[in-house]
Amino acid sequence: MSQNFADIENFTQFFRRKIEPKLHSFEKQRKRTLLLCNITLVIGVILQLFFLFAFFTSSNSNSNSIELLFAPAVITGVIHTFIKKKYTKKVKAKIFNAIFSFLGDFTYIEKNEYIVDRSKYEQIPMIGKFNREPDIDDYIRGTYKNLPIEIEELYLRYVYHSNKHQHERTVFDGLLVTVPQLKTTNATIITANRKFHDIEQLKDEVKLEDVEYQKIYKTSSDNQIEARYILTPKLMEKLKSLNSKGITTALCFIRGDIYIGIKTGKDMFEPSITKPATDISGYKDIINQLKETLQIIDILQLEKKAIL
Amino acid sequence: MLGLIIFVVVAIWLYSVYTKLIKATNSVKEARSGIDVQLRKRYDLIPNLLTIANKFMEHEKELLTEITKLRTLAMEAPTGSAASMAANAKLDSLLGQFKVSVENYPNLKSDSTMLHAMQSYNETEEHIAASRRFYNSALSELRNTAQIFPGSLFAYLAKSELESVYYETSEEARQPVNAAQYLK
Repeated sequence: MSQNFADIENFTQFFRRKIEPKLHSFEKQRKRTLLLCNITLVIGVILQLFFLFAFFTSSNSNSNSIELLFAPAVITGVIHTFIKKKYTKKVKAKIFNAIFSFLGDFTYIEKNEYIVDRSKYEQIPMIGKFNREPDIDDYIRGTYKNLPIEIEELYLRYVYHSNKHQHERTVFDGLLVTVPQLKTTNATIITANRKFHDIEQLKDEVKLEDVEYQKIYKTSSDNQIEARYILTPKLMEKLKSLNSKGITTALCFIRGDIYIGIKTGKDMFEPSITKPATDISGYKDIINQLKETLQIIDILQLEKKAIL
Repeated sequence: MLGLIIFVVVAIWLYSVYTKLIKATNSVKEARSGIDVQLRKRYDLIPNLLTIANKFMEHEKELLTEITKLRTLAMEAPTGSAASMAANAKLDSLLGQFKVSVENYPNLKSDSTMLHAMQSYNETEEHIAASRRFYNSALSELRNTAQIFPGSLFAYLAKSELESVYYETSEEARQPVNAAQYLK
């Protein structure tokens, strides 16, 4: 199967031929989901306004009532997400394999088809400490430019208590891409954009000679020479170009694999519930999201041993 | 009492500067030994390369002999010395020429032993480049620590390391390669 990206015009034809027929049956369900979501939102807004009114007019407001003040908004958000996810999960199961096949040999794995291995994330040093079960929203596996590749939309949290209150910290929220490392090293090397999650925890800093790179990325390794062997001036230039494109990444080279963390700031690979089920625009966005993720491999030329 | 506090604070401050300087000095030594390890690897690889090449490269005997001579010279010079640097710079350049010349011999280029040896050699070359970058970075850190007050008070402790020079690309290597010379 071709590994080159076909243009978006081809996607339109591909969509009309292979995807659209499968989507007709979802339209009724989408409308029902949208209605349910809207009803939930309206009830949520009314309840929230009532809570706010009650709080500001009541004479015995205390710290406990402040905690409950935004409960309707939170509960509404949870119910809204649940209803939406129930619909999108079905759409993804039905058509995502076909959609992603447009870009090559990719398979969308459904949530109930894989086991979440918590220890995998615990062993990646660029990911900080977390104590809640990893939440993988999407999992795509495939081959790109002869490299086996895994793409996970991952959410990791750390929950702690202080002053009798529970707090939550996001440890990782974005895409985690795994590809094999062609240029081998026994050392562990992490280079992370300073805007990435939890970079403070990175010890054994490597001070590289490129001052501009140092300002953008923090690098850490247990071996100063191997770190420079992997982070060649060429690779540093490519990572700087990623940053200039507004892509916030962290790379970890460990045990023969490269883990690429990408901060996305939004829920990726999500079918829309507001647009008709057969509307192509939402699926173009999904294809572009995968395409942009794969372009990081292209920019960094991870498929070439010599360039890295 | 205040005098004692000031004395303790100043003593701790000076001690931290002293330890920083010692760490930076050790880092330069570590970096230099890193280069040494990689250069040794290269010295060990050169005879293998030349033995394989000798069978095929009929017209490059002079180049091969010169590489052998320079290898011996570079191995005998103390690591980090001007003689070692000069010999290795010349060796870099000649091995560059050798790699270009290999292109002239399709049988040699496609020989599996040669391919394997060249791959090992290229990896070692990249490690040498990485070691040199680490060395330059460590030396730069040491110089900054030793030249800025109060580090300059302890600079005499790192005198021998401060006299070291940075690894730079030789003038010869900066010159554009005349491919025609090797692709006759």
